[in-house]
Amino acid sequence: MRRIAAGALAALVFGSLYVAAPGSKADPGEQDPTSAAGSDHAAGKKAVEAKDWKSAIERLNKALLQDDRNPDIHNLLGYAYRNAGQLDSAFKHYRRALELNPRHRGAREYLGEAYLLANEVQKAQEQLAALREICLIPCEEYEDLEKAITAYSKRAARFR
Amino acid sequence: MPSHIYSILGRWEDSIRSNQNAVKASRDYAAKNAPGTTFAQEPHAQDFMAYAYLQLGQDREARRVVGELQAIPKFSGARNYGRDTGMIAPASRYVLERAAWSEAANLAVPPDLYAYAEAIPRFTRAVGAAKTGNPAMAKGEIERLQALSKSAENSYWAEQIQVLVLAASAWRASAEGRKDDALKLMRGAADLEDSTEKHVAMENRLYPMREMLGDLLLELGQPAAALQAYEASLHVAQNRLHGFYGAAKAAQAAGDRSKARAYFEKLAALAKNADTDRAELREAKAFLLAQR
Repeated sequence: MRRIAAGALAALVFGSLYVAAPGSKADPGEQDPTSAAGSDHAAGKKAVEAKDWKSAIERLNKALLQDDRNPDIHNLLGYAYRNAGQLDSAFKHYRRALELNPRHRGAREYLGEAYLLANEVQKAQEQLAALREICLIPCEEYEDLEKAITAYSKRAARFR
Repeated sequence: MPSHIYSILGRWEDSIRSNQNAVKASRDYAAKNAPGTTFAQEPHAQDFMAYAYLQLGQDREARRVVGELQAIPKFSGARNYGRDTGMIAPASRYVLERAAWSEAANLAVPPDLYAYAEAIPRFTRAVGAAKTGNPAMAKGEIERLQALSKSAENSYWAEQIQVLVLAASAWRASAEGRKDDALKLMRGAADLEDSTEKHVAMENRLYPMREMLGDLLLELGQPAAALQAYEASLHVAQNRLHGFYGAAKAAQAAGDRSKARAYFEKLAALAKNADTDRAELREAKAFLLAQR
């Protein structure tokens, strides 16, 4: 069973009573993960939801300064770059997300969709095949990428 | 918290002692700083303690912990994942470890929890439903698990919930007679769990999925493969009562009596101070008596 080095969050609030176990992912004293305590990550996520790509890129890059091994941040940043038209940066962060977690379904889907934007349909298919293996049972990421590939193929056929 | 190490090593008495001290420290802290409340770190220690009691067959003690957690009126300190999972997991462990499937199907799901904390009783209900012949109810709980995975706070917890989705789907498939699907899904759950790191809040996984794969294989009449799964599980989830029982049963069914004896002996030694009359303890005693 694989375990990784200590996570970024320490027991801040009750540090005197609690010492994190070395080699663990995070601390049970980790604060509310839904708020991430007004962090750049949370702000970046909100900016993505608001489609404010410029702010999202700024805040998520700041978030990476605090936690550069977080695949969710890399994935979100890739998404923001992709929507801002900066495809090279998007690829870089999607690939990093998948280095950190090869089973990251969101990053697989988004990377596949980015490949379609770059007209690399074969590579998008590879991400779809990876998702099929990862999901085992139907999952939204697989279905969405499959739809995107189908739509791309139809469009491409019209221009042949 | 030293009980993390004790848990990993299966040193249950040490874990209990350590967590009793942790609970006392939590209570002293709360009494001093926020009288009338329970410190948010306490449930995490209680969860470790309940897990340890269950491995020793001290079910009454585990039940007492579940009751104490359910009676908490108010917390102090910041909410955290360990608080929610610690508050919720013992009740599920109490039914899963005892294979009390009817109780599992009827387990309550408290409101307002982090995603994985809610997934714990949902999974328990799904397994309980499938095991008591209600795959339709299991399907509903699996759908809720899928929704929780989708809305989880981050991809780590989403993936941990996927482990539960796969395992619950395996038991549902088994209940519907889809044996090949069941095995494929349970192997998927075990492989996924083994390939992911633990979160400290759930140092004791809800239930080792490789052990559950052993249960399924045994049910499906593949004792040699089941024994392999149980032994692989015991390698990482050491000194587990049900792990020893499953391995003993699988060895017995596979015709390996010496291995069956060895595992029943381990089980009997582990549960020497049990306060319960679990069927597996009776079976172990009967087997060992017959060997004399």
